[in-house]
Amino acid sequence: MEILFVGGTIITVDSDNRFPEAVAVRNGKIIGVGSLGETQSLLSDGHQTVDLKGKYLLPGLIDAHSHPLWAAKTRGAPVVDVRAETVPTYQAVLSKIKRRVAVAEPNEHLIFFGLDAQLHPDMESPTRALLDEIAPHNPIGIQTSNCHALYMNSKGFEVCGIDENTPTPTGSIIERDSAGRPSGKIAEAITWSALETFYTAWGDQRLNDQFKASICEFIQNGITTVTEHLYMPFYKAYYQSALNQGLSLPRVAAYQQATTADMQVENLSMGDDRLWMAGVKIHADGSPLIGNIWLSQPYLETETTLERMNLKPGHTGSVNYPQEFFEKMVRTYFAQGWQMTIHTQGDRTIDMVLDLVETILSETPRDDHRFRLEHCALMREDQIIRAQELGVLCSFFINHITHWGAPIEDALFGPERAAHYMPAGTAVKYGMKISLHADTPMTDPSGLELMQAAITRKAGDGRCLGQDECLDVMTALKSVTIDAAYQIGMEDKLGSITSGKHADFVILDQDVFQCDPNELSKINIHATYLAGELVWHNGL
Amino acid sequence: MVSKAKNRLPIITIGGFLGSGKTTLVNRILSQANGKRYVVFVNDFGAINIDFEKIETVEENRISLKNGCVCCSLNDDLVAGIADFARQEILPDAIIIEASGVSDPRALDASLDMLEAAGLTRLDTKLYVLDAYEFCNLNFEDSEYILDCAAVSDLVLLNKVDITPKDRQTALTHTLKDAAPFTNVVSTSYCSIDVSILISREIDIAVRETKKKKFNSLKAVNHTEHYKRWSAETGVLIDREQFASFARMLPKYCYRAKGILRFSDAPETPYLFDLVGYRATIEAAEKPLQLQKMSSQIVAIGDKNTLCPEYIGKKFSEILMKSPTAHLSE
Repeated sequence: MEILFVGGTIITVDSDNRFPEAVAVRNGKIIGVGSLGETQSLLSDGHQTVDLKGKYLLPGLIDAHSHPLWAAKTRGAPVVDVRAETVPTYQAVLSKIKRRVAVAEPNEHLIFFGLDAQLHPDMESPTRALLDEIAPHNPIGIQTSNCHALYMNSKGFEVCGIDENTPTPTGSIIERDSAGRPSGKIAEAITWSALETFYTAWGDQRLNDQFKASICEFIQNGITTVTEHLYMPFYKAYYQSALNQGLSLPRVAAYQQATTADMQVENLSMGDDRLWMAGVKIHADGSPLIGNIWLSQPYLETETTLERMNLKPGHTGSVNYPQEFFEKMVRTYFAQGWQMTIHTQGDRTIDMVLDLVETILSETPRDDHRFRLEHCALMREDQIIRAQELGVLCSFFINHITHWGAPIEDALFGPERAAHYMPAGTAVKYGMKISLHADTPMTDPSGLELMQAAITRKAGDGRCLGQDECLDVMTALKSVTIDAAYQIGMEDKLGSITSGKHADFVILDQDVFQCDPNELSKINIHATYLAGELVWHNGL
Repeated sequence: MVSKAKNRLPIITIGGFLGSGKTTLVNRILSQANGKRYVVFVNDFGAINIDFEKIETVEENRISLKNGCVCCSLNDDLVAGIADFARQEILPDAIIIEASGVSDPRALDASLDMLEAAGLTRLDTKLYVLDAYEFCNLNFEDSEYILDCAAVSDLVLLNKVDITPKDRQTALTHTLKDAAPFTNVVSTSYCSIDVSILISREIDIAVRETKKKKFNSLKAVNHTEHYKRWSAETGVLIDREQFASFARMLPKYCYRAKGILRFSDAPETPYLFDLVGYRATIEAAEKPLQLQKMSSQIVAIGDKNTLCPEYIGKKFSEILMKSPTAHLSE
């Protein structure tokens, strides 16, 4: 199978070979990038030619932190979407829940996704008693839009096997009444294991269908490589099945989730770089939108933080795990040679992690460890300098700015911290190879949307959060291609149009360099190629 | 790049499930044009009810009417089609798009955002036609989809109320109040709505017709038997924050409000105020306004049962009293 791509602008993202005339592909690999004559001579006479017709050929996009299978679990019926986009108030959320409960089968398990203390203006924490009143006969759970917390009724707690005798797992939160009985809200790792009870009740057929839809959404957005950043060993069967069915599964770098130090990390490798175990992920803290992150300066005291998020005045949060417990986990998996990716949002959390990395590296030096910090909402400049010195990399959850920018500035952290929230520009200034991510299912997959967010830093209401942190177009493009490939340890095989690499491409209708940055996310994705194969095109 | 100072073309979208009455509404708008030039983009040409004698020309994708309105078929070139109209020397009064009952409304939103970003158009009103009679026969997914759409619209036409039992209507009104708290709802049969509510230019004209008076002149006008109108004109410079709190109150009482305002912090700049449902914009006028140049004028229109002109007038007087006392000179 040989293909020649020609007749358009080829943006290689390879500084040694910027705008060649044509690209030659054989058996899913790029074998030549250069003039038409050069590349054509590499191919046999029977090769196929793809005429780009003036469009733009780029390397397939890479989302450095996502959850495709988990997205399938959390999205689509029977999950009921209650995100503020279409269900604008907490009261509207409750009334939707009531309408769903009214048509539920006996004992049907119900999940509602998208409760949002920042975007539902009248948000209250639903109590177990309230949810019992609404749904006396069905297990129900309401998951927050940031995925980190879940509110359940008594039936919900019952099916998940969580009661007054359940010890709170290290790293998780179970809110309880004075008698120790769970009062409704749980957060962090226990949320995700509780949700599995619901997903299991809905059966595999539903999950497989939804997984297909989830995969397709990445491919349609030109994303050819993703990560499964909360991989659990039983995920393998679903991936295996998707590959066996010949689905156009993007390449997946798996990061297995650790919640203890005695986990067996699966040695996973499927196909020709289609799915592999890339490392281990640990949550050092939680979500700025809930309040369970560790800060040096407290949250603002506003209606949102005090009443809707139920934080106490002066709240500076904390980390998920006792420090010794956390340290033991990191040491264990680092010593096994895995790349570590640590979920960190608060600046004090980042101090703690950097201290630990420094200690570990001084005791057991390791070149090219590519230790990653994930999301990095409130990282300070001094921490970026220190991270850069230690060889620690940052992956920024830049869509926070588009989706929650206004409340981040007005209700949570104030203008100074908002101006450097997700400080991608500062990281680049100090020479770091950064990546950007949508953290799907938290926000929808789109590499162009990530670029737009990082270049403009515009919140939903049009305000710019920190002009100094804006990226230029080329840097933003690299952060969803070659630099993202570097962060998953695949820069030799992915992330640019370079001879010897996998033939993963996206064809765009417009030039990302010429397009108004505010319009980037609207550029049409014309086609997506994975391993030299056309896996999606828009039909035009 | 600074675009030439001119008004951007207003766009009105009409959403709704299949059979809810979108086409009926389009026909009503075309027949009530009253000298206005509307361009409508519709899914199904054949469904548009146009008398032969009213037709000026027929082209492949376009029918021009003698009253100046144009009916276009909705195809892939919607963006280009609208852009053509927006670049004409004499702009139509509004573009009206019948959004398909099945396609993803977000795709349409993206196209409209693109036109808006290019400075060509502005989204004026998002209408949603809801079949009150059919609603209770739909399954959970479909009925919730409709409620989600209603929640992101400015105005819902609760249609076919003539054949919907009263108790069902009441239940649906309550459901809508819960599900779409920031959307106004108006009950109709055969989409019988005064088109002037939908299309803001009508309100512009009302502003223009307001008698010029030196000081506050608050008056109520009974527009038709269904709607009430309130309008006011004042030479008092308005405090911006006071006005914002007044504007936040308005959606509870009216479907639509519009005005030209002079604020105390920038008396030289006329501001255009536009409220559709719960969505309000206040922006500096792009070109010098000739009419009523040194006063503020505002008009609101709403249901006769909810818009109490005396009450709104009282609230408006209150904000004027809290505004600086300096008056504009003639």
